[in-house]
Amino acid sequence: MHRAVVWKVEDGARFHFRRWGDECVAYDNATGDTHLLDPVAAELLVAVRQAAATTEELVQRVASRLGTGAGSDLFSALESALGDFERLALVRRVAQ
Amino acid sequence: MKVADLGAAELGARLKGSGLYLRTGPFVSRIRSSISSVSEGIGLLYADYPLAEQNDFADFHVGLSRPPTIRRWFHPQAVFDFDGHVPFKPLPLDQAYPLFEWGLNWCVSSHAHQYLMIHAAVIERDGHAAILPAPPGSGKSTLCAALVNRGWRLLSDELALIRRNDGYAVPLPRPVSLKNESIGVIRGFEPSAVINREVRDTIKGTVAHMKPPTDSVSRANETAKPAWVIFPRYRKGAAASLQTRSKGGALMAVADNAFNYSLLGLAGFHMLADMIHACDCHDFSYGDLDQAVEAFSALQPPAP
Amino acid sequence: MTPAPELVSRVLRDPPSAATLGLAEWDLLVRQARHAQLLARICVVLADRGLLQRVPEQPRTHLEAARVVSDKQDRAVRWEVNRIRHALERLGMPIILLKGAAYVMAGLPPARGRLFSDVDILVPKEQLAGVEAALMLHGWAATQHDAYDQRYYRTWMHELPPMQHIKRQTVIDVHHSILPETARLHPDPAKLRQAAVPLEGHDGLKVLAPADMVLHSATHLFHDGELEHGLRDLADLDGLLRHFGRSESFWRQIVPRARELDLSRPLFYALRYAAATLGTPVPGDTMQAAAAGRPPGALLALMDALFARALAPDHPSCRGRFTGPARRLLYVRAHWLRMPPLLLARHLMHKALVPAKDE
Repeated sequence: MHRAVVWKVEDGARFHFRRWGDECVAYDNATGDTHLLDPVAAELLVAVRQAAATTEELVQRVASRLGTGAGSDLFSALESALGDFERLALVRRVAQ
Repeated sequence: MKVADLGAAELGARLKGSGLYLRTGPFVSRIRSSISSVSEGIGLLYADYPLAEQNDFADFHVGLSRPPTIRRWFHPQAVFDFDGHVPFKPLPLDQAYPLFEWGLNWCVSSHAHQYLMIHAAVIERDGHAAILPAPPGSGKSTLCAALVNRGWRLLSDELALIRRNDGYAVPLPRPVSLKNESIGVIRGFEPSAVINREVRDTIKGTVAHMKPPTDSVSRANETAKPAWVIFPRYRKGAAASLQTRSKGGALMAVADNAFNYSLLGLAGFHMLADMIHACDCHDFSYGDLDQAVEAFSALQPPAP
Repeated sequence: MTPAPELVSRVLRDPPSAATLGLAEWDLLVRQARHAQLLARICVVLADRGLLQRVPEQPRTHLEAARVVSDKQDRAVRWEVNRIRHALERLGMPIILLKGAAYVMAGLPPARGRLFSDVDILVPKEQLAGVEAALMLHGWAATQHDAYDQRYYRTWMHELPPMQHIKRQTVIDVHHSILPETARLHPDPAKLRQAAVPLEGHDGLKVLAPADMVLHSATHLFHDGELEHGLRDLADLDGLLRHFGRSESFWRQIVPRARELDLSRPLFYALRYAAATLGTPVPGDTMQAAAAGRPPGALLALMDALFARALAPDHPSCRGRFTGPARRLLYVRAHWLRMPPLLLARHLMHKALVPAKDE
């Protein structure tokens, strides 16, 4: 039986954002890394920082923040971004 | 009192004895060396530099010496030490002067964390500073040498020092490092430029240093607010062209070229973001120095 | 050549005395403290007492710049511990942090203004293989590629060969004991693990109990041969003793606990040299009881002479004629203490025959 993955950010206060137009730069005070994020990735990080959530829930949050539809394109974009985030230790999977 | 006021004999004696207390920008270095090329290089390139008013405190105690090993007879070497600590391998004695310059850069870049330090040239005009970050090979020093011979003031050719409390660039004018073809290019561009003896076969190829303009040295305590971040790139035959670079991309690129961005943590991020926010950011490609000078003179500072 | 005055321990012992230093003395102090890796510590000590703003600007800039580096190390250690915890999560056992990482995570005084980056952990010996495998799975790799060094660690030492993370370049030392199996003293690691205390706010992490932490620090310094930063390590001990020593029960426990763990000798040295060099306040009856670990008179006189030199900052201004030999002698002594003579002869022979690799 497929179990939904839940994503969470440990200590959300560690991220600091600066934005210029469409661009967003996020500084991670835990790792000391700086990340350049496109608008979708930026909204995703903001959304997951808000509260732990499944990928589907995150798609809803990001879609409503961007004012777009929660289609399969957005789903696969977020899925791949979450994989990147996990490798960068920005987010982690937790048991449901 | 300036280095030139000492005369060659007294300069050599101080270097061999208790040390020369030399002021460069905000730092005092106590330099000791019995190597003649070091003494000659300092005498020529630092002639306009002030000595420290007092000899009781130095930020960096450095020495250039010949290691007392058997090699000294057939492969003479020079070793740089920072207060007894040797950060680099010895180099052939002939490279003692460039080793001195590199050693002083190392002293600043590994210790002066009161600043955000970026590997960049900094020049100034009408109170506005241009930061030219660039990896080696981008033609940053050549462009910097040309611009300071055409009315821009030299703040630094290697190390942008950004003050933490107000984000101003603090001058650290030092001799401008030139490599390989750029030595001839600058000699041709400005025949009156004072450039010391070329040293061949160093790790960076043939190197020489250009004496900074006297005005830049005497105004070393005038800070300037960064107005432009410009990433230069030399391309043979290219027309001079400025292209806007996005702020986020510029921030990432400057962070990559900073010495202590990650050490400064969150404070470093805010400093850098504030600087990028206040600056116009450009990519600049050029193939001809006269055109480059023209393009730079047309720069307008960002609206406040 | 007469050594210049040793200013680092003077200022650590008596911070207000910094206010009387002239600029030339500050010049010397900054240089000595930089070599001793205590520049940031001095910054913290003066800042805590509101004395930093009275330091002349030139030396103060260097103190504050060193503080930038130690603050960064503090953040880096916290993240590193987070990653280690993550890597070892599935083993389901508590991880005991040792030395610097323990000081940082428990917020103890020696953490402040310290320059270090390695993390040391203590795990049961039977868990070593599992820990090593889990770390390798998460990106750590062995650093000792020399077969002799690998065997040396695995056969005789109290830890795995140091492992380095391939991306972050950070180093972890995994210990199963605080002294090698070959050492003459045999503190039982099970007793240390049993007494270890949970780290508040960090599930699955522990640190040694106060007395054990002090004894480990003393053993590391006075029994383990790492004297390159002797004064810094003594300053750590001083910080721990002052901190834990605010509770009377700590002083009552420390001597019996040292006896129980077979560590009376290092405790004796620690209290003796911390009090003498840094003015650490040790109650008279504790000092008296600790004298049970005192070596015979002639040996003590020799140790006093050797440590007096080895515990000075490693700066040219502090080097008397005998400092180099003193450090070497103590290195040989420390190895002698932790290895039987035949093993030691083999080890030193190997070290002498194999040229050090270029950095």
